[in-house]
Amino acid sequence: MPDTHKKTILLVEDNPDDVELTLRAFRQNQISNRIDVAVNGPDALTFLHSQSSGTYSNPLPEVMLLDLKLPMMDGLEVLQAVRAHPRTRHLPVVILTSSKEEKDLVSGYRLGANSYVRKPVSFHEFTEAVRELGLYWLLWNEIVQEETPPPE
Amino acid sequence: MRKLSRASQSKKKTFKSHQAQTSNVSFETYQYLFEHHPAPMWVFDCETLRFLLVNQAAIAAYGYSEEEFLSMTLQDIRPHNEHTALEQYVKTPHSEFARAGIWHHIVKDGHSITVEIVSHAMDWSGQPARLVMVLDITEKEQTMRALQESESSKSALLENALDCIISMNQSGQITDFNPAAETTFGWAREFVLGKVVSELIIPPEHREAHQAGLKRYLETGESRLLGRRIEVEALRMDGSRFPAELTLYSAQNDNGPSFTAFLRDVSDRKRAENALSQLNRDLEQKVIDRTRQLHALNHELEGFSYSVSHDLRSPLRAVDGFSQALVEDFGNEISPEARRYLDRIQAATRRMGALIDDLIALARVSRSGLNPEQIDLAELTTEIINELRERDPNRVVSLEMRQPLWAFGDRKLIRIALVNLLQNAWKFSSKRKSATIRVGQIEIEDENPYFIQDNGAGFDMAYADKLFNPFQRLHDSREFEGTGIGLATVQRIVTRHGGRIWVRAEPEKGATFYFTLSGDMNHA
Repeated sequence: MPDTHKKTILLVEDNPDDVELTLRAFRQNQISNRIDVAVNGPDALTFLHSQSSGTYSNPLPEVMLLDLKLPMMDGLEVLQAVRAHPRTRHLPVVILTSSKEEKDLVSGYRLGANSYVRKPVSFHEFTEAVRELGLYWLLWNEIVQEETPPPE
Repeated sequence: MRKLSRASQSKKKTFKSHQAQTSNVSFETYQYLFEHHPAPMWVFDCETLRFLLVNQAAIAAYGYSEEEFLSMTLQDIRPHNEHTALEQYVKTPHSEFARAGIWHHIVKDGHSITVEIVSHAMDWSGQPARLVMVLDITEKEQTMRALQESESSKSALLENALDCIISMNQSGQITDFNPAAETTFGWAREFVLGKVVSELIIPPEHREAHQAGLKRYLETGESRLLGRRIEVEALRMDGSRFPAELTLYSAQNDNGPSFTAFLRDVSDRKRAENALSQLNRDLEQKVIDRTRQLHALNHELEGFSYSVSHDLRSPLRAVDGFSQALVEDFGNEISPEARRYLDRIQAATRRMGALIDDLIALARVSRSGLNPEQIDLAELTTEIINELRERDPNRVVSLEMRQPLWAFGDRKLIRIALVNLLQNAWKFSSKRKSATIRVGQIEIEDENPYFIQDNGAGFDMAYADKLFNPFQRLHDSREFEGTGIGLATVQRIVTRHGGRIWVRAEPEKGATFYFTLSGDMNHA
């Protein structure tokens, strides 16, 4: 098994129940990567894009799990901002949401989401979904290597 | 030249003596004048009324030969009803020259002519006689009668017409004003005759144009109005105005052109027209308003169901997830009964999740747009049954179906409807050893509904009308699972396709759902 421990995950989710259950699902699937949680859009963008003395403050996560219904900026706006920034232009983004609305699905993919997963009510099914997500994005997916930030 | 008859020759001397008294014109000249006078003339005996002498014009006009005339009396050319009058007339003494007035004569072929008679007394060899000249006025009289008839029918028309009929001469003075005009305008005929039309019934601001139009017509013969039906505003005696329909005609008389106007008060029609167009405007505005309201409502509903699908599911996930966590993390510490409760909590959350999903689907069916196309229901059915077989491989269900089964509708929505109906058929036939689902199309009373039939549990028809209401279930959920929203969704889809859905069922014998798709997609 390749070393996946340095790879981190960014979870953008405002509902503490969902945060805890998601973390639990990862744990149950023995995915022990570091998971950073942002509870709203601006926090997530700060986490991804903030720099100090010419380097980014935080490591680029392997994948971002993005809820759509968020306070302040909604998930699609966050996605737009992520795609607009050079550091995160190619960051894998998985929309993880309750909504099955087709227009959300369509807008999500149009704005450059890599995947769209609907959170099932059943925790058992949810755990299964998280397991497959983890396997795919942490184990099998190859990402574009990070470049140094552009000079300010 | 025709020779004088014996009779006239024998009376030569009478003429001669007469001639001698008056002038020196020769006897032959007089004879010629009598003989060839263009009007019929004769001499008759005042006692016997016998013809004594007739001229050629009389012979030509009456058809009798000279011999015949001379053997007849005046009575012979009179209709019977004038015989007495003639006798009376002849008996009364007359001046030398007499206008005998208008009589009727019968000519040889039997037809009657109207004549005006003048006569002059004369002496015929000592016998009193009269020289008669006849003026045939038959044609003139016919013309006169026709003219009278035409006059009286014209005045009947004028008197009884519902339209106002107003005539004027070239000076614009009123020459006729019928009763309808009196009623409509309020003016009496005696008052308006001779008055200038424009000063009475034309509103002041149009008078100049009227005068100019009349002047132009009299000068050039051109008119914008003549013979056309136009709408004008007219003025009543009391100063009020009304919309009128006007047609104007001109006629040439000896003393220049005259004009006749046919005019009708169209106030009622105008009012009706205005009311109608106002009604239309109101209706259009209402449609616009309602559509706007509907859009707003739709928008709200969209927001609502979005919210529902998001926000109601999150807590459910939490309930389910943490119940699961309890079982997983503290399974050893909780009693079997507590564990059973947790199972029930989880089952309930899943059921509620399914309910929310179905409700969202129902809402989506109501507001999504329609893209109708030709679809094969048999193909869709096969797909759906295959999915059901995959999901439930232990079931043996046979499918009897006619192929293809063409329909016109929105593929996505029709598929949702078929999924619901086939899932029902699948579900309710689950307790049969040999379950059969039949799909097809039949003809019932001018309709060609599609049908989906199962040989499953069926139900009592007494509850059939409740079946299509949301949340309505006819079976215990322990017996058959379900949210009760599926058939409401199916009905919504069918209604949106302009069709209808109904069901025939019997307990333990199965159910048949029929539905039509009219192709008329304008239903809400």
